[in-house]
Formats: sequence, structure tokens, C-alpha cells
Amino acid sequence: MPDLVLEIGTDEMPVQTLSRLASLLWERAASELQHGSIACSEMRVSHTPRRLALWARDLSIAEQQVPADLLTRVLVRLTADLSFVSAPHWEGSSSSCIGPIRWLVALYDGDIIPVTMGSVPSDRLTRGHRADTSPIITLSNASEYRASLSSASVVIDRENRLNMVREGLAAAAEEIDEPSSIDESLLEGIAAAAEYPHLLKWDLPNGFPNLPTDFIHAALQKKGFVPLASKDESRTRFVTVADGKVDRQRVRSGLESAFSSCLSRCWSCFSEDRQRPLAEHVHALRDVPHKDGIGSLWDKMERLRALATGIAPSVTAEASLVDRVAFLCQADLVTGVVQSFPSLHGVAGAIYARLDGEPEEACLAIGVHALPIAPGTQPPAGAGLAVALADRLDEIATAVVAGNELNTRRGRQVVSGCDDLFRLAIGGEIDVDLSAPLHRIEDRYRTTAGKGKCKEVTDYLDGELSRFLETEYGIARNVTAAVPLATRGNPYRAFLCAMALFAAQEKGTLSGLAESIERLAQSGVSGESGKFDPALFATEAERILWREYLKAEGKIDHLIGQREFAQAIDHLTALQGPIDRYVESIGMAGPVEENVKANRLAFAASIISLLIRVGDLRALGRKR
Amino acid sequence: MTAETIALHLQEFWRAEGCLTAPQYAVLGDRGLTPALFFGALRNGTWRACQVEEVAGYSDFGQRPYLRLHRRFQVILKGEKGETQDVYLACLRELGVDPSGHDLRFVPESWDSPCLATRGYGWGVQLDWVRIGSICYLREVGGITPDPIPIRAIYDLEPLAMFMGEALEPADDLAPLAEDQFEKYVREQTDVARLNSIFDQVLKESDEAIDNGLFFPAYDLALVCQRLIETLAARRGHVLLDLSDHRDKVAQLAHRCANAYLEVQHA
Repeated sequence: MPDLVLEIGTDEMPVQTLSRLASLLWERAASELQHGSIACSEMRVSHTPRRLALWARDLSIAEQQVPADLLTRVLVRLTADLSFVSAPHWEGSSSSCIGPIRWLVALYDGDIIPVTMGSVPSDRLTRGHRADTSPIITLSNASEYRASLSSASVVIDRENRLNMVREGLAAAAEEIDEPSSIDESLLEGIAAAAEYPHLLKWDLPNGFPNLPTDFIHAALQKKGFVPLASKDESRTRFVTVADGKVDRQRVRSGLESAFSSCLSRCWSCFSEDRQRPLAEHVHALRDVPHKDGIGSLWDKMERLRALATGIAPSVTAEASLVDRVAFLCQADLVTGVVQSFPSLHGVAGAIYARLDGEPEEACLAIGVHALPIAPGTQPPAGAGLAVALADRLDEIATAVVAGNELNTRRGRQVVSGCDDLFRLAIGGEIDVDLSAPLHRIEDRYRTTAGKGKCKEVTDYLDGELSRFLETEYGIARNVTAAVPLATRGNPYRAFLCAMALFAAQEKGTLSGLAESIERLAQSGVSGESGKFDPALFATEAERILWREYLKAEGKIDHLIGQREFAQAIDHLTALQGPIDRYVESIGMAGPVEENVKANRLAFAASIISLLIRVGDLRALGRKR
Repeated sequence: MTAETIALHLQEFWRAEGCLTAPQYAVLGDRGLTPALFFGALRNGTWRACQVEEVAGYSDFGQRPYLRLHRRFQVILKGEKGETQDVYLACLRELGVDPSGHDLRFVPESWDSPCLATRGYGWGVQLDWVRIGSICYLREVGGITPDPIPIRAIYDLEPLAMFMGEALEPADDLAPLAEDQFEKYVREQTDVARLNSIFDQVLKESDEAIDNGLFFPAYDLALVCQRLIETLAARRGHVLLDLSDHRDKVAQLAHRCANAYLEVQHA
């Protein structure tokens, strides 16, 4: 059966723009084909920097339709939907760009489907790779499309290009013993920016013997080179990807010049930075305004010191060490290396601190405090953990206090900071209420508009915790909402509590208990918890419940203190029978004196107060 | 082939393509536009011109401002059909730069000159990972959208010379000395208050010129303001000076110059 191909040839367009267009093309094409009752065995949308293509295989069209007419109507609508390709939005701009469409292929089987984009009419002519002087390829049939491009050095599918890069890198890494971890987003970028990725391996020239390896790697990565670590560090090999089948000898001069220039720059920054110790760079933080407008980076450093030393006891880190790390950890932001290669923040600080003779524990902590925390990774320990928590907490607080729109780029950074914060607290098993150190320094979060608003920060964190637990652990938001408010400022405790509630809810343990609480509440609740007199109990059921209450109360508080929320819930569940019998007995007892009635109401208040100490079981136990 | 001979070859190529040769202008700041480009981009109808530019731009090597002096050959094309990449490549081949076997890329990029209220989109041209030029569709010049959209193509002469086997040598013997002195000047001597005062005076002078409809001298003075801003931005310890007010003031001037020129065009 015949194939269909639509290829929009352009001058190079930004990868992000092409990705968006490809998604749109896929969506619209699927809808148009369905609308026209056209079936196909396979449909693909692909893009390279110079083309956006739709390829549908084995088209079947209803007999009463004339395929050419139908497909013309379909492609006219489709190309009209994509007409803004001729005036795409360049990244980061609000204006459209001049039309870069250079050619248009629209073929059904061997026939051209007559459509026009901009002023370019459809044809059967596509182009090969630019390095081969973009040879014009005549397609006699749509089925030839992919093979023709392949023979003209164009790998049309991004996934195939990515595999070529991955396989080449793996082979190169094996040659030097150590397959290093390779940043997947870097690879994706490399594969997306070439029509035919051609891997080149190179050994780094020996010209920068004292430049730290991390700096060399960062400088090379910024240029799009992929460094490979050697086990004995005797040599640094890197891989770069050319677009097209290049001649190694011909590109040598340019390539060597490119990496020499980027390493020279790095070397120049490094030499300049080393004119003075890291601790002296700290003073330059006074001149750098904080990105959220809350003072300067110096002020941030002072806030970090207060927050981190407040957290230090919970991570069993020495306060003086934590304080030193918090003092130094922002200083590399004003060094040349980090200004040139921002990804080195933290790494550069650790290297400089080590060269200055700072304690190794401090150097390690500086090095890890700013690292993003991926799901499932082990957070740092000790001082590094305290400062990392303080750093994220401050980042979130300043953004919220400054009233940043949280749907902006900064907003996304804050959400990512929240994820880090919760992963640090939960993964590091840090039992600390983060709102407490924040409130202690509330006056340092003043904006020019007035007083800082730490309540807003804790409310924001509360909402983010629900989102985080849902996305990372699958805990429904209503479960996290049932965790007592006093516990939610402590992400680790809140997580354990939510997990226990979630498990109990899933087991169905809570529904009976919730019904008992409901019945108890309906029988009347008033007065202050604990303000009842056992001497006024009139029935045996009351006395039994009282004894069970006393047994449970001490255990539950102890278990909550020990973070044994599941066991605490089990103990509460044991109260269900006595509660039910109590409610039944007082219902049958008939009218009682006022003081006995008041005593019962206070007793009920005490029971309910105990039952909701782990969480709002009544809300969770309701039938879903 | 040296940078000078490359410039001559480029000039020859583009003259054959119908370009006028605009005279070389004073040394520009990194994001400066010669009057030939600025006003030429706004003129009515089609227009093609080329010229050699000398550029002095501060690069920031960490905290160390570094003045880079370089030359480039620029072409301004108004009323093109959008085949500039092909012509650009044809020119390179004519020059003897055969891209086959090399890694040639047109890397999408945005470009702007906030002081001159000018911005555009296009590509940086990279040959074997070294930038050798750019092509830019200027969507806004002096705060005005030109019609038709002008295209600015640039060839960076020193990287091209290097690619063609010329040893990397400075433009002349004085260049390294000049770069050292500028670096020392920016690092150690510049007086921010005095530079601000000079900025205000030049701005005022430019403002008065445009009040009298003298857009060429006004624009010339706006370029002086732009260089002062670049110097202030490079001043060590003051890299974080908020210069947006300064830029806005110069951009307003550039906009007035553009409008004054259009009034003359339409008269």
C-alpha cells in the first residue's frame, strides 16, 4: 500500500522550536487522518535542524474517496495549521522570524500533493546533508524517502541519532577503562543538533597541568565536548560530535583551537581566582544583589549561617564546622571560574577551600551543598546536609517572600528547590521542624515593601510537600492533608506519618475507626480534653473505655515521639470496640444529671483528641 | 591569506553581488552598529552594502575585563529572498574555504543591542567549532521594524585567516599593548563617577543634536555613550552596576535618530 510523506525543509531552527512543532504536527496529523477516515500501519514525525517530516506508511483510504483529492484537503489543512513555521518564534523572543522555509515535499505514493507553505510549492525534491553541498534528491515515490535521506548522510530519526552517539561514546569510554557517567541532556542536545552525528575522539593536550580536572571537564562540556574520565587520570580524553562525515585531519586545527581557547579562558579565571584565598572572596558577596532582591549575597550567607547552625544538632554536625561551611560556600559565586562556568558552583568552592588548607570535612561539605538531589540518591551527611537544607530553605523563602510568580523560570527553580529540600530531609532522615529556624530569622527576610512573611513560606512548603509526596511516593494529597499541622513543618516526620496513614487507609483499617469517631462525635463533644472525672462514670462501658484510653495515651505519645506512626495507628484501632460499646451504653442509659452529662462530653473530647493525634482519621476513613 | 587580503576578497565578491562599499567607521563597541548599517537598514526599498568594521569589545574573563580588538567584514542586504545562507557559503567557497570534510554549522541565536534598540535572530556560523561569522535578520532597528527586513552577514576576519592557515597573529604590533593598557585602565583607573558625568554630558550633546534634526552627529554621540556603558560594565567591582537606566536613555536617543532619518526619507 502507498506511503505518504510531508517534509518541510528549513534553514536551521532552534531544537526546542522544532520539538514543539514536531509534537504539534503529530497531533494535527493524527487528527486529520482520523477525520478523513485514513488508516495507516505506522506514522512517524521526525526532525533534524533543517527539516520537519511526517511519514505515514501503508495508507488505506475508503474506496469512495479519491486519494489525491482527499490528501490534498488533509495536507492543505495541516500545512495551514503549521503556517507559523514560516514565521516561527525564535527562543526567548516575542517576535516572529522571517520565513526560513526552503523546500516542501508532499508525496503520496509517486504523486505530488499540491500544497503551498509561504510561497514555497510542494515538490518531490528534498536535500541531502549540508556538508555534501546539500545535494538535491529527487524522490520518485514516498516509500523511498527514508532510504534516500540515509544515503545522503541524513539520519532522520532523532532516536537513531541518539543511539549513534550513545554507542560511539560507550566504545570510546571502554577504550580508556572507565565508562564515565555521561549527562543525558548533553547527549540529547548533541544528537538533536546534527543531521548525521559523527563522533571524534581526542586526547587533551598537555598544557594545563595544574588546572583541576573538574574545571577542565566543565569548560569542555560548555563547548559541547563530552569528557571521558580515565581511571588513572593520566590522560583526559573527550569526544565531540561533528555534523556529517568529517575528515579528522581537516578539522584538527579548528578543534584544537576551540578547546585551547576554552581551556585558556578557564586557566585565566583560575589564576585570577587564586590571587587570594576563598575566605577573602566572601567579602565581594556584599556587592552582589540577591536574585530575589532580598539583600545581597552577603546577607544570604549570614542567613545560611543562622539556618544551618539551627539545623546542625539534628544532623549531628559540629556547629562551628557548619558555620564555617555556610560562611565559605557562597564565595565561589564571585570567582571567575564560577562566573564563567556556573555549573561549577560548589565544586570550585571545594577545590579552592582545599587549596587554602580548610579542613577536609568542610571542603567536602562545600562541594556537595549545592548539588541537585535526584530521586533515590543518598543525600550528603553532616555539615553538607545542614548547609544544603539551609540553602534550599533560603532559596524558597526568598522567592516566596519576594512574591515571585511561581510559574516563571524562577518559579520552576523554586519547585525544584522544594524537591531537593524534601529529598534531603526525607533521604537524610532529618527529624527537624524547618519552620522553626526560619521563623527565628524572620526579620532577615524583609523586602523593601515591608516585613518578611514567613507564614507564607511555611504555607507554600506545606502545599509543595503534598505535591511532592504524591508525585514521588504516590501518597494522595488528602492523606498528607490529614497529617497534623504541627507535624507538617517537619518533612521527614510528615512523610512517615503520611506513609503510615496511607498504608492504613489502603488496608481499610481506618474506615471502622472513622465510623466510631463519627458516632462518638454525634453523641456529643464539648469541654476541654482531659478535663473529666472518672468518679462520675455511670456505666461499665465508660470505665472500660477509660482504662483503654489511659493505656493507649501513654503508648501513642511515646510511639509518635519515636516516629512509629503505624504502631500508633494500631493502638488506636484497638480502641474501636470499647468506643462502640461505650456509645451504645450511654445511648441506652437514659437521662442523666447535668454534671454526669458534662463529664461524658469532656471524656468524648479527650478520646477524639487522642484519636486525631496521628492524623485526621475521620476524614481519611470516610468512604471514598 | 591574511585578514586584510580576506577582507579584499570578500569585498570583491560582494561588490559583484551588487553591494556598495561603505567607508570604514571609527572603532565600535561590541554591540555597536555603524551608521551605514543603522540608517541603511531603515532606508526605503532594497539596498546592499558592505564594509570592514573594527570592534573593541570587553570580554569578561571571570573578574578580569579583557579588551578584544578584532575586525570583521559585514554585509547589509535589504530585500533578499532568504537565500543568504547559500550566498554566504558560496562566498566562503570563492574565498577558498571548502566546507566539505569540515564541521560547518549554522547555530540558531538571538542578537540584540539594547543601547541601540536593535535586535534580531539568525545564526552564528561555526566552522570546526570556531565561530567565523553570523547571519542576522534585524527585526528591529532603533526601535522600528524595518520593511523589508534587512539581513546582516558578518565574517570574522581573524578566525577565517586562522582557518586558512595563517598563524594567529595580532592585527598589528600595537594591538597587544593596546589590549594590556585597556585592561589596566578598566581595572585600575576608571572613575565611575567621572565616567557617569561624561556619559551625561555626551548624552546631552546628542540630545541637543537630535533636537535640531542632526541625526548623524546624534547617532555618532550615541555610539560614544554605548562605549562608555561598556567600559562601566567592564569596570572591576562594578560589573553589577545597574546600567539599565543608561541603556534606556541611549536607546531612546537611537529611536529618535531612527525616526528623524525616516522623516527625511519620507519627505
